[in-house]
Amino acid sequence: MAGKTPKKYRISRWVLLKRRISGFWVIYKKNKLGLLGLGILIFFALIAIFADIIAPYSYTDYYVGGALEPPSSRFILGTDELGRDLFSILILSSRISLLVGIVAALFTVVIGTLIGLVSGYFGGKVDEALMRITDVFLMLPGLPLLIVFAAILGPGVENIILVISIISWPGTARAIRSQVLSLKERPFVEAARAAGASELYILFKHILPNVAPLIFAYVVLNVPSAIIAEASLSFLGFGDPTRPSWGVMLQFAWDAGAIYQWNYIIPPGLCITLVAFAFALIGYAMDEILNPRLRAR
Amino acid sequence: MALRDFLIRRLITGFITLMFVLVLNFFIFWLMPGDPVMLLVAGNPWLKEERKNALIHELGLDRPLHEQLLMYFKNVFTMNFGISFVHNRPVSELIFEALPYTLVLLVPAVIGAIWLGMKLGAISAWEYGSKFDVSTLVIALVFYSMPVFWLGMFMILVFGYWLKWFPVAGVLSEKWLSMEPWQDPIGFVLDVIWHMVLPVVTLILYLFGGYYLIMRNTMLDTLMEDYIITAKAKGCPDDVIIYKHARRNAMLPMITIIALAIAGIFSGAVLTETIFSWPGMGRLIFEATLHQDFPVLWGTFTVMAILVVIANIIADIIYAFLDPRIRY
Repeated sequence: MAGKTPKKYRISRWVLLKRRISGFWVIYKKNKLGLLGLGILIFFALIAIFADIIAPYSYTDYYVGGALEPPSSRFILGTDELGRDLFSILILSSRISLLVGIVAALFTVVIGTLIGLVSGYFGGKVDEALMRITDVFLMLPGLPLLIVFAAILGPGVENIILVISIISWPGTARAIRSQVLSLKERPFVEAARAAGASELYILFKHILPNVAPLIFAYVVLNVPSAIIAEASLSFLGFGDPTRPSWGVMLQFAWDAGAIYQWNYIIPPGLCITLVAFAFALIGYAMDEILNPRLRAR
Repeated sequence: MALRDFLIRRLITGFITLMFVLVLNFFIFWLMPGDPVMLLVAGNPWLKEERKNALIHELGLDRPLHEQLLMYFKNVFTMNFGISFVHNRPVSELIFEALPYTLVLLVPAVIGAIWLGMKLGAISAWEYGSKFDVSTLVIALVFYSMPVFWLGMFMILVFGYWLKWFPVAGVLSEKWLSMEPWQDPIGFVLDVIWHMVLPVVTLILYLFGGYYLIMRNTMLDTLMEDYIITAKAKGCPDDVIIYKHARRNAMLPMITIIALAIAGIFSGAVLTETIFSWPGMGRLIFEATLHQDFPVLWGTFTVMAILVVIANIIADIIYAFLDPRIRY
C-alpha cells in the first residue's frame, strides 16, 4: 500500500517527526513551569554525566577525613561515618538515582503499553481478564507490595528496577487502552483492514504510532514515582551499598544515627525532590499540550 | 430498586476482586524463587522440629499445590499466618496489636489531607492562572515529589531537634512507663496527641498534594459546564457557585479517586511509622523485612490488601448514595 505511492508525494518519516517535535516545542516554550522543569533536569543530567570530574573524591576514599565531620572548606558537606566526603557521594549518587528512575519508568511503560494495546484492541474476554488483573494491581498497597517482592527477590539495583516495573504498569495500561479504544474505531483502521492488513500489522503500524506521544508522556509521568520508589526501597535496605544512590545515602545516615546532622540528611532528599519535581513539571506541561481539552483553557 | 441492584452487583465484584488479590498474594509467596516451607516455617530459629512439622501441616505446605491453595484461603479467613520468626508469637496477635496504632495515625491524617486538598484545589481552579493558583500548584507538586520518609526526617530535624517543640519517637512520654492511663486520662490522651503531631502533619503534607491536583482538575472541568455560566449570568455570588454548584459535582469523581488512593496511604504509613518509631502495621512490615520475617510480611500484607479492598467497596456504596443517577 504505502509502497505504491509515487516517491515524490511521500514525506519522509524523519521530516514528519521533525515537524511534529518543532510544533510541540513552540507550544512547550510558552509553559514557564515546563521550562523550569526542563532546566532542573538538564542541570542534574550534566551533574550525572560529569560526576567523576565534579566529585573531588571517589566513593571508596575511606577516612580522607574524620568520621561525621561538619562542613568545612575541605569537605563542603562534611564527611560520613566512614570518613568519606559527603559532597562527592552526593554527586556520584545522582547516577544510580537517575538511571533507576528512568529505566524503571521505561520498563513500566513498556509493560503498560503492551497490556493496554492488547486489551484495547482485541477487547472481549482478553480485555476483561487483563482489566481485572489491572484493577487488582491498581488496588494493592504500592509500597508494601514493592517490599514483599523485594524481600523475596533480595536487594540490588537490578531487582529494584524489576520490582518497580512489575508493580507500576496499571495506570499506563488503562490510559493506553482507552486511547486505543477510540483509535480502533477511526476510518483509517477500517481502511487498513479493508486493504487486507493483518491485525498485528494494524496494531503496530497504525495504532502504536498514534499512541506514541501518549507513551512518551507516560514515561515522563512515571519517572517521579519510580525515583521515589527507588529512594524508599533503598532507604529500607534493598539498595546496593556499593552503588550509592540518594536513597542509599539516607539509609546510611539513618543507620549511623546521623539524623540530627542537616549536612548529611538534607542534601540527598533535596536532590530526590528536585529531580522528581522536574519530571512532574515536564509531565504536567506535556499533558497540557497532548490533552486538547486542557489546551483550550 | 436500582440502588439495591447496584449494591448487590458491587458486593459481588468486590468479592471477586478480593479473591483475585488473595490468589495473587498466594502466588507471590508460594511460587516465587525459594520454597514456601523455607519462607514461612523453616527459617524460624525458635521452633523445635516437631512444632515445625505441625506448623507445616497446619499451613498445608505438605500437600499438593491445589490443596495448598484451599488451605491458604482457610488460613487467611481464620487469620492464621503462622508464627513470627523474631517474636516467636502468632502473627495475627502482632497484627491486632499494631492495627489500632496505624488507624489512630491514618484517620486524622487522611481527613486532614482530603479537607486541605479539596479546599485549596477548589480555590485554585476558581482563580485559574492567578498567583495563588500557580504558587499553590508548585507547592503541591513539591510535596508530591518528596519522599515521605525524608519529609519525616526533615520534620524531626526542624521541630524535634532545632525547635524542640514536639517529641520525635514513640507514642507516650517516659513517665507513662510507671503509670496507668486511668490515673490521669486527660493527660494520657494529650500526651498521645502531642506525640501524634509530627507523624500526622508529615502524612498530611505527603497526601494533600495528590488530592489537590485531582480536585483542581475536576473543578476546572466542572467550571466549564453550562450551568456554571448560567449561575454567573444570573448573578450568583462566587462562593455559592464554588461550594454549592461546582464543588458538589466535582465531589463525585473525588470519592472514586480517594478510594483508589487508599492503597497509597498505606505506603506513606509504612515509612512514616518507621521514621517516628510508631508501633503500627508499617513498622511491623519494616521490622519484618529487616529480619527476613516472612510470616509477618505475609500476614501484614494480606491484612492491608483486604482492608484496601473493603475500603473501596465502602467508597462505592457511599458513591451510590450520593449520586442521584444511581439512586433513582
